[in-house]
Amino acid sequence: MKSHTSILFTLLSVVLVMLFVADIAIGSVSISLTDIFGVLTGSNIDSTIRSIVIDIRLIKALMALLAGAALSLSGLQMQTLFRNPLAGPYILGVSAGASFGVALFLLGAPLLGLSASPILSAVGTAGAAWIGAAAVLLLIIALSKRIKDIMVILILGMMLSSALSAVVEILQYLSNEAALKSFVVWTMGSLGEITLSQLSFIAPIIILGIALAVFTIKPLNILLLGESYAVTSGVNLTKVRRNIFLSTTLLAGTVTAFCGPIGFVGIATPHLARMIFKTADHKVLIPASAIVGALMLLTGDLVAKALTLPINTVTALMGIPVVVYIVTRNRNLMQ
Amino acid sequence: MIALDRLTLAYGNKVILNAADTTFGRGTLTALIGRNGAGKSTLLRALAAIDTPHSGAVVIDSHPLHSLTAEERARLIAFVSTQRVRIANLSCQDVVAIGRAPYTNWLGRMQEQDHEIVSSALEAVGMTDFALRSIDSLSDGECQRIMIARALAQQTPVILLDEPTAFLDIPTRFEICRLLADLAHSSGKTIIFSTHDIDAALPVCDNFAILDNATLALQSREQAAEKIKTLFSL
Repeated sequence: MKSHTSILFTLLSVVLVMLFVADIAIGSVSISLTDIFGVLTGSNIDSTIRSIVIDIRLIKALMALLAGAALSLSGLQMQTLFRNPLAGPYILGVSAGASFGVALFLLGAPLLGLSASPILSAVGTAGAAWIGAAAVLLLIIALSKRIKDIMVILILGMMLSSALSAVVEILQYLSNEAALKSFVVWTMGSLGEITLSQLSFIAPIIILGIALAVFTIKPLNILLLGESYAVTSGVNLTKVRRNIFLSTTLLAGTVTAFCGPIGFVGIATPHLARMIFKTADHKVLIPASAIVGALMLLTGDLVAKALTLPINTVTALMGIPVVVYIVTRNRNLMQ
Repeated sequence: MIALDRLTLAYGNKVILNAADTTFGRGTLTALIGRNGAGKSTLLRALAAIDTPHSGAVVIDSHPLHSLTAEERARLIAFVSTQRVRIANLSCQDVVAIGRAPYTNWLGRMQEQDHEIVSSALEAVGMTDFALRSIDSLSDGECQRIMIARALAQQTPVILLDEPTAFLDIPTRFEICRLLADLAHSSGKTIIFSTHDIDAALPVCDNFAILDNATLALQSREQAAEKIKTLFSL
């Protein structure tokens, strides 16, 4: 690895650690660095502070870290696979599928008088979202075995996404105010609703998704040249597409299920990683996007806390200028 | 050597090639010519196993192509498509290195030997000085040379090119055709390229494969000129 690449990785990692600590320290109650260090090393610290650090802030900061990395990686995979700078983790309908699941759960079930059903409450909002997202991507995987042209898959994904959104709107139209409000709050995204037991479920899934993404490094580099070059360079396209879609289900699907749709992190951060590292090589871009994604979501969380805004609005306002800058500055970005 | 064994191709309902038996020998450069829509690209894509033929087989050095895995095929055939590659921050050397994909490990890690092959491929197309330049800063002709170098780095007995001279100015068309002839004759590779540039192809190609009315006729350079005149009603 070139030396300036290693320097950049070191620098970004230092900033990442600083932001991570800042995200734990800053909030409605400020916590000193000595206290945070004390809690993490197991010293005797006031139990209220311990509880804020461990049960609330640490879990939330870890979630921001994982979610940022996950969304960014799946955005990078989608941008290379579809050779489109505006592709992101939600381009194939992950977010629409999750919304559909949640809408059925929060809006559809009360309409049918099923809200008290024990099976449904065990599934929960996150479960419903995850099932919705996974169902959409499994459908896409099944379709992509039959369809050769990747653009057709992209269009089908977008159409499916629009169709699901339309059904969600029908459910919203028919629902009462209380159910509607809880749905709308879900669509704004939140990193703070995660419990320790949920995190211990989410973390291994996301790590599995990241591992799968690492296995797509070589084919993604070849796919930069397009699919006819990929096939004739020995890439098994069906298998690679399946791995990429599976990785996106695990990464973006899981994050969306537990935190709601968090927009623009996945589209903007791969571009930031390309700009910072000045490379198209996925051996660099995969770790770089993961770190930059984590950085962006930690920053987003700090801003959201400072201004008490929903995370989704903050990431959109942070990500959109990046995307605008990219498309205006760099016209031949990816063809 | 690449051979067609009763190869039949169809595009939708239209038969493009009907039970063709043709052999392209080692160390020869063949220009594939025919009218627009005759099916030159379809034929090349079938030869490269990007698309599966309607029936029949493509055989390379006694290996039937469709019985091999994508990776095994990639060690026998390299392909250069018409698609223009314009990617920011991707050096020419990295593009050529993609040609090593069928030989590298799961992460695509390059060994010393792979780096040497990439350098000599760049040298063979006269682009050594461009190794570190980003591919999106090159002219169309330079870019085409890099894509040819990428195919060379793949070290296959057969190279197929789909209209490699399409976007180029007239002198560069001649240069690319001459380069392909040199490569075929010096390395013993079988090189087939589709083209409309008869003027540039005539002086250097060993054979002309003329695709017309679902038949493929392989002609030597001497026979070809007459046949081309009839084909294009000149």
